[in-house]
Amino acid sequence: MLEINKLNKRFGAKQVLYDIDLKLQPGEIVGLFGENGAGKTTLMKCILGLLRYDGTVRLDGEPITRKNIGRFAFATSEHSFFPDLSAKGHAEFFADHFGTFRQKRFDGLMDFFALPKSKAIRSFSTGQQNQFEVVLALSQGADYIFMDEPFAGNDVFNREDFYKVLVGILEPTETVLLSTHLIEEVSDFVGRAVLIHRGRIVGDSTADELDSKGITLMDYIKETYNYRADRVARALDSINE
Amino acid sequence: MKRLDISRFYPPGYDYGRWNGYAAMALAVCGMAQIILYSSAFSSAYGQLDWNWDHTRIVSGRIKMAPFADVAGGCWAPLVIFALYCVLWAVLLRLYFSQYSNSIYIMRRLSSNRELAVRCLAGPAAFALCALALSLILMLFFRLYYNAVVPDMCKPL
Repeated sequence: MLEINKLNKRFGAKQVLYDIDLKLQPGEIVGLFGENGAGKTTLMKCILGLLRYDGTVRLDGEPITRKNIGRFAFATSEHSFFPDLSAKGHAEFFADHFGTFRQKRFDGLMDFFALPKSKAIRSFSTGQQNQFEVVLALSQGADYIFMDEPFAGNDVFNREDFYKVLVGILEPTETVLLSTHLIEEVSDFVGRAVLIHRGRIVGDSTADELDSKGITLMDYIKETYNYRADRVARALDSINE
Repeated sequence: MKRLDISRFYPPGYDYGRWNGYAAMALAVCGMAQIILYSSAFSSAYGQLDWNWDHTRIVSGRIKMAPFADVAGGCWAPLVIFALYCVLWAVLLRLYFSQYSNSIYIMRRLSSNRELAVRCLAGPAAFALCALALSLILMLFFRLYYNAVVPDMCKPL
């Protein structure tokens, strides 16, 4: 289990995360939702040790060190592949360095996205690069897979089909933390929604809880963020006055 | 015997062949610069000895040759410049992991923190050591040349 306790993060004078407490159980598929600048990416980077923070992050009771950091994978729209290395080269590198690398899953996902294996990733389109980022993260063999806006720049068919494939390939022990703005597309996929607003967790609910209340994920998010349905009309009125 | 995989000493996907070529060229230039600097310093000091009228023979030990350390002192300059080149190269190799993409995120998830250091430092360090070895060999030859050419009567005490 991944446990985050009282995680705080500042960039200079600006505090961006406030007392984040979060537990991720093995096998959960968690959607992390929030407006731009809410702190989703920063939270992921803190957990991965890419940013310094105050607070504690523990994985099965152990602090995150070089010994267990390989249990995390990270697909980010900032891209983390080696730009001049081919997909095949990446597979070899990952197989060398991550004993858990899943070659079969890598090949299957490469075929699914129809990505070329021998070209340098730099030559891929942005959409293909995002796809490759996801392929790598899922093939690493990590227990906790973080995806930060993984499908920016991808068409709707690719995204929808991918989520279906993802549900089909994930093993019961694999945990996914997915940050995205495409809420409706992932509403059938995530089992739990964590809402973050201005650096604070403002909502945390499982899909079952939402079902029992008879509300959709989108409704839950709008309700939690006090979304005002008349926002657009008011904006248009004030502009056209 | 297993062949050494040089790509393991550079960032994954890095065009190490091209950059090793540049470094080898710079190393050759460094060696040549040392030879030119030494030849120039040696000629200058040697020319000031006490020659006969048509400059064909040293006639006395009245004027002493500059000590070898003084003659060869300036020859270290190319090595220092090459060392700076290697430092800059190592910095660029580290930047390679955050240029165009943040592949440093992958490197930070590896179980060994040596991997990143090796991939940034091994190449430049190897060339810096080669440059040092080349300089030491050249200095040995310079010293032998100095001892062989400078007459005993003109050698500094």
